[in-house]
Amino acid sequence: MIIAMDALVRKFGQHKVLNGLTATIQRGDVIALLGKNGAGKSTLLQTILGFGLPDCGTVTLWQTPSVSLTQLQKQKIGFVPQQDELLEQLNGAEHLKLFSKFRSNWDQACCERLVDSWKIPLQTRISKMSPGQRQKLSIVLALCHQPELLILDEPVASLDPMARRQFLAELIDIAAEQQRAIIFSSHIVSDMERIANQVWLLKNGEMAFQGPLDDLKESVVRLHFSQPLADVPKELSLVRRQQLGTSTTLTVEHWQPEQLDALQLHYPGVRVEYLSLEEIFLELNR
Amino acid sequence: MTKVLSTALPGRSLEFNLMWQPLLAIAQAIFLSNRWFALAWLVSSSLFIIGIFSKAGWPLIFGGFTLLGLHLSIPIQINHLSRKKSWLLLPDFKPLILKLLLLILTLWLILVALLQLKASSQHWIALPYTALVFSLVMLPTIYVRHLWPLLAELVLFITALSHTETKSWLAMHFSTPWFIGAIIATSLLMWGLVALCWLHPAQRANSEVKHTSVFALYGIEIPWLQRITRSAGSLEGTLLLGDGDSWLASLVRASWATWLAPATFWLIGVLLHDSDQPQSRLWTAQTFLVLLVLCPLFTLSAQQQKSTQRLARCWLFTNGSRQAMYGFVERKFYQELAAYLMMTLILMLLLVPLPMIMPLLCYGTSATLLLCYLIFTLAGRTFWWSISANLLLLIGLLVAVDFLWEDSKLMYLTSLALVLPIYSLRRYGKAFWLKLDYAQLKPRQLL
Repeated sequence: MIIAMDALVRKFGQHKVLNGLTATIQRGDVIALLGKNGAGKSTLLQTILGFGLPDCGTVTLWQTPSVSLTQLQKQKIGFVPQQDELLEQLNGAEHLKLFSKFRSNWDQACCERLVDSWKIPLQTRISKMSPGQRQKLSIVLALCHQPELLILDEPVASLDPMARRQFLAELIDIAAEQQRAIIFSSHIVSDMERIANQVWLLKNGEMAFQGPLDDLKESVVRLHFSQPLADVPKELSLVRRQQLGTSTTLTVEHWQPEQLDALQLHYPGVRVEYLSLEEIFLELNR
Repeated sequence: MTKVLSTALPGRSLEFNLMWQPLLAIAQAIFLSNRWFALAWLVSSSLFIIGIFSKAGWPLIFGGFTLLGLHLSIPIQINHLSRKKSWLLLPDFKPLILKLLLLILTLWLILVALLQLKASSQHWIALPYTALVFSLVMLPTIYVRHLWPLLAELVLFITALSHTETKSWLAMHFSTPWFIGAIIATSLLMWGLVALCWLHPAQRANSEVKHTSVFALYGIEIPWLQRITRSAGSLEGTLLLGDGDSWLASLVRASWATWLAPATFWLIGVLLHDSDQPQSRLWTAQTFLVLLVLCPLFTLSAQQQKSTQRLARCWLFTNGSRQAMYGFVERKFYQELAAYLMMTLILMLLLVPLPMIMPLLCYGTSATLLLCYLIFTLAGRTFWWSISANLLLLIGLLVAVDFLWEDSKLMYLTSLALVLPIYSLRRYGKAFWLKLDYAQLKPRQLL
């Protein structure tokens, strides 16, 4: 187990940003961390990395509390923050040299490949680089020492579509090795759907859903009824109800495919629509 | 039927609002940035006004001093606002700032005039001096977007007044028409230059670059020098300092900070004075004050301020737990301090009479230790708490050295007094750092 959280609570003043989160991460997990702005995604990632102290509960990485990690354990982490933390007076080449000198397991071939394909201007000073170029360099610095745990806090926000595709392809390659764990927070939900195998959905500081992506996609569905419904069937856990003319659409969670047969007995024309991750996110956060 | 719509009245009201609302918003952001500041401004202004009209002297003195202290926050807050794009996008943000400053200056001139009337004084020379002091406090600081002009002015002011010759020269010319004329001309020139350069479109477009190197922080951009100071001893140390953490880098930084002022004096001396007797002319009290107090103390404290804001950047690279972070930052600080001491000592051995070396070194070291441990303790605290405490201590230390530096016993005693709180500060700071949220440390340029 790489990460274990138990009843994690973080407060800012009286406001509980994270409220009793319990979860684990294993090798091979690629976790899409979803949530609206202010849901606590960055706070969660920062707490996992030991930047902040839990007010209650525990976070351990490789069975060590996140605030007591050793250098060897920290070497196994790659982190891309929302805003890059590069040294403004250095250029790209100096950054890579600095990191390669002090990082064990530095994969120079991977570094050269990424720099080349992302066309990072290595001789340009960081202060003169565009936000996208800086972000690309941050990602290279986080990836090239082959971390066991990769934490990405909205890494693609400043990337152009081409670089985003390349970055996702790189991430898919890393995920395919099954040796690493990735936590990936982004508002581009379609990207996450392509690579994630697990979803953590944060809502009001709590885990609204936690589990495999496929389970989520099977559990939140849209049911189309060709007739108007007076009452919602009791066995359904309703998220949203829409009335369109004579037809009714219900978005439900905790859906189980076997429920369809029972529904069809009472509503013969009922149809199940499976949603994309983005649609599920929108439905659950309305 | 034609319906006539009268737009004149709403239009005028809109025009009025458009002119005043941004100005009021800026004034609010500067004076009422938080409730404590608002309260402080209110109390001190009330006391000052009560003082003008009452017979008791204390409200006037207390209110006046508090108001003067609070005025230091104006350029700091203006610099803070002008780094934010949301404020820069406000129509006429910079011209409005200048208008607001002119408004405050006018208020001050009215207050001083009232005081003159109260004292039944016929001399109105206080007015140009008020204008000059106000302009010196506000304008250079907002122009360079840094506090160092303010501190440099303070040191020059202290050193000038500590010299008997200067004092008598000032007393002689204080009220002469040509001197007053020069004061007025200087003030007008400063406003003119700021209006011309600060409001220039090129300056407006100049976006904020977050400098991490202490040299870049002061606007010193010398490529070969920065190449040396980037020399890294470790990744975590470099990320903490925002610059190279090797001994070579520390020594280069230290020699630059400690030798710059004396080297400049020496150069001026060589060019303008008799080189046979440099000591009597060049290595005067002023030189040592600038050399021993301002440069190393200011540079080192500015660097430590930066370091404490960069804990999040090095946390994932340091060896050890949170408990070890304070010690790690402390070790890096001591390396820098040792480099500064080494460079200062060499300079002193070359230039300063032997009996003066020890007391000056003791004072310099203890003052730096106290200031830097205070900076560590205040890491993560509210911006204004932190900056007020640091500035007050820095000014206190500068004033103290001016009074004490000729008496070695007093220097030793003061050094001892300065060292005493360090143990408590360290203990408190260490405990506080265990709970500190590194992600909440926002990079802000205080010193």
